[in-house]
Amino acid sequence: MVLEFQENGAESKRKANNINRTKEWKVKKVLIIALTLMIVCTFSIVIGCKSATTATTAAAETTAAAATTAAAETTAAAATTTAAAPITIEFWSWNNEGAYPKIHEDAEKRFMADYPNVTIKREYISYTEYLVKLKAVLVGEEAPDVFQIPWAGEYTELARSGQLLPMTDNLKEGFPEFFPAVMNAISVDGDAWAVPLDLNTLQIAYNINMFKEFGLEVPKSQEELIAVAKKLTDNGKFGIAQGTKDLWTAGDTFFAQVAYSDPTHTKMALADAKKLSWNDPVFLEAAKNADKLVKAGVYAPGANSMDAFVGAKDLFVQQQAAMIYPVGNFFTGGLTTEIDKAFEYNLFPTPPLKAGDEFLPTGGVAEMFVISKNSANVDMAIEFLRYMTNDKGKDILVANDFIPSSNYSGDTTNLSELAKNMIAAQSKSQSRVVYNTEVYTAIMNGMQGIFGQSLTPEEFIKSLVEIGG
Amino acid sequence: MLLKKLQKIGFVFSLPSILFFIFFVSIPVLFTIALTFAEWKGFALSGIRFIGFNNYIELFNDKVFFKSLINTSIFVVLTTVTLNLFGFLGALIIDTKIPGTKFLKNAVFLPVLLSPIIIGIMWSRMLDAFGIINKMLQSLHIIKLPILFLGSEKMALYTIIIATIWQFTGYDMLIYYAGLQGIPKDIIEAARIDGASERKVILKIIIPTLSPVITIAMLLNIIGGYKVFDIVYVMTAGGPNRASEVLATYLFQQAFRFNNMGYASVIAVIIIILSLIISIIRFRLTKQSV
Repeated sequence: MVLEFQENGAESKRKANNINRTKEWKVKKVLIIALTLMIVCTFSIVIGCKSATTATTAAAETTAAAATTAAAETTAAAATTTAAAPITIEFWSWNNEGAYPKIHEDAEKRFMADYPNVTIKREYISYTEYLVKLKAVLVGEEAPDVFQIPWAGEYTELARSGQLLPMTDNLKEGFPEFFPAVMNAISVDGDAWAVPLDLNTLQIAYNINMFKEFGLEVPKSQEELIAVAKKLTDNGKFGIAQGTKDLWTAGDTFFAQVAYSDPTHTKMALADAKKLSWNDPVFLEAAKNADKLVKAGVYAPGANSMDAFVGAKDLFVQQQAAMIYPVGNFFTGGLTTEIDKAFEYNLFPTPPLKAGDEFLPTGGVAEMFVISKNSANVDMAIEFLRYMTNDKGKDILVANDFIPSSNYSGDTTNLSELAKNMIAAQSKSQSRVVYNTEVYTAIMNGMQGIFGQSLTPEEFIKSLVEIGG
Repeated sequence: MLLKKLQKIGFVFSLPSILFFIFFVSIPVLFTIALTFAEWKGFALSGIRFIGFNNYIELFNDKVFFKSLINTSIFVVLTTVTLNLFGFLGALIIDTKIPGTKFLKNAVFLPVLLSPIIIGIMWSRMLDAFGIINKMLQSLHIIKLPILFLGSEKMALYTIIIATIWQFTGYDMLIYYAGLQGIPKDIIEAARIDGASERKVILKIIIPTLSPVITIAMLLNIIGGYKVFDIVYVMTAGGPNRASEVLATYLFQQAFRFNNMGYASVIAVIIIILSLIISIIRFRLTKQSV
């Protein structure tokens, strides 16, 4: 009986084990099928998107063309009819500092006063997150109606992506005539895709009081700049405060030198388009000139550990450095507020190589805006940008020391010295744009190497050639 | 019958987590893996183009990738070892419960609660060439010229490592402290009565008992180290001249500056693989020692 009981117990155990093994296998089967389905679905989505490209692109082009035609044919009367229903225009920018928010708000108020049924929903996103968020909404086809876009590599790639409303025809109606150089800057593959709001020039800001104190004058050559910096350091001050932790400022030091080393002012664009090698002597000369200034102690120490708008700015505002670079209209508002009349300052471009040569600042488009191809309110979005760039828009720009991207015929008698300086500099400004983002990144990183003296000019040029040819 | 019903109820309660895992973890990971074989600017799904293994071939010729891999590995090793060491020592100290240890516990743990971005900004300002640390050192005549903590290619990465250790020591300390509470006190008392020194108690009793806790702490540090982004991006953005470039900052640049989503996905997959390999090795070592 005990044996029987034992046998029955063992039998029950075997049965229970079999049941468990069956259950385990069932669960495993379900998991395997679910995983396989997920993999198949994922690859299908990816392949399906590729095979749908032709049809989707064709449909998108047709839709974009129709939207453009509709927008171009829309008259003020048609716009008024559309304006009756409540509309929200989403507007994105990253420029939430300085005077830009005032300028955006002014355009918003004027526009909404004339179109009371339209609400502008303005959103500022920090630059670090901006491109990430923008990509996410573009993929989800939920991009804002109007958004700011960087002027370099990201712009050209976005323009070619088919996500933007082409603006070539729209710019001919109701917009001012933008400067030819500006139209070149916003054209990609022969078409304009953006509306430029303002321009900037990058110059060196200098402390007028400190210059007087040490008997200094605005240097007329780079040798004189070295002498000015030496006099300042001999007196316990620094020459130029520059924060190259923000990579773009390091890049601009190179562009400022190319403006002088390339008398044709065409080679950077040619190299960018791969029609010229970065091995051209003008680029090596520019790198050597920048290196010479660093070695001569023109810049305050620790450039690579300082950011432009905090560390470098503090040095200048606290009068430890007599100069700061680069300064444009994006910076002057904040500087003036922080200096708070403690001293006077003005601007001069990076000096030329030889005394007597013309000063050449660098510059380009500052803010520019694009319209999403998928915007449900294309006509209102275009109209809003007209309000930003019209005569009243230019008045508020100039009143805040910004430079409009088209001719300004308003009253300039009350302009600040800074604003007059920047407008005058604009006509001579040289390019500070390289559209190939990988080459641009190599320029910025390489210049950090020059500032940190870990890279020679030859090594810097070699890094550009490796990437850009 | 009842068992089947209970299993069904259990499955229903687990379903939200399962669905979350599938839609927010599994599918994105699989999509990322699929993208490694594609070229995509990231603006529209219709722009995805299959290019086979080209991204992987490009990776093997990419000097910047290998530099970021080395930097990340240095970061992982140094932070893992130091955080575990300091965390363990800190836990031992606060477990003694002598006066002042409560304050120490709170003070060391406080930085953990802050965002790495805030920590990064704070340390950047302090370590600036004209920041408070250099000013203090200069006023004490320890240095004449400022030390370029973040501006020097040789020092930038190690400065970030120090800031990270400062932030997360409290985290490891808390893990070890919780582990110490699980060790029966009578075992330690018995060892002490038998004449074991403190060193022997720690080496022969505490550390072996804490082996699973050490595994967890190290794994968390390693995985966190391979994913590090915020503090590096804020303090140096990978500079100067890529001296502190890590995998995540390079991935970010590839994805959102160069618009190479496919290539960025390869880097993401490498990060996952590295974390997985080390986790598996660590688990196997723990299993063997048990």
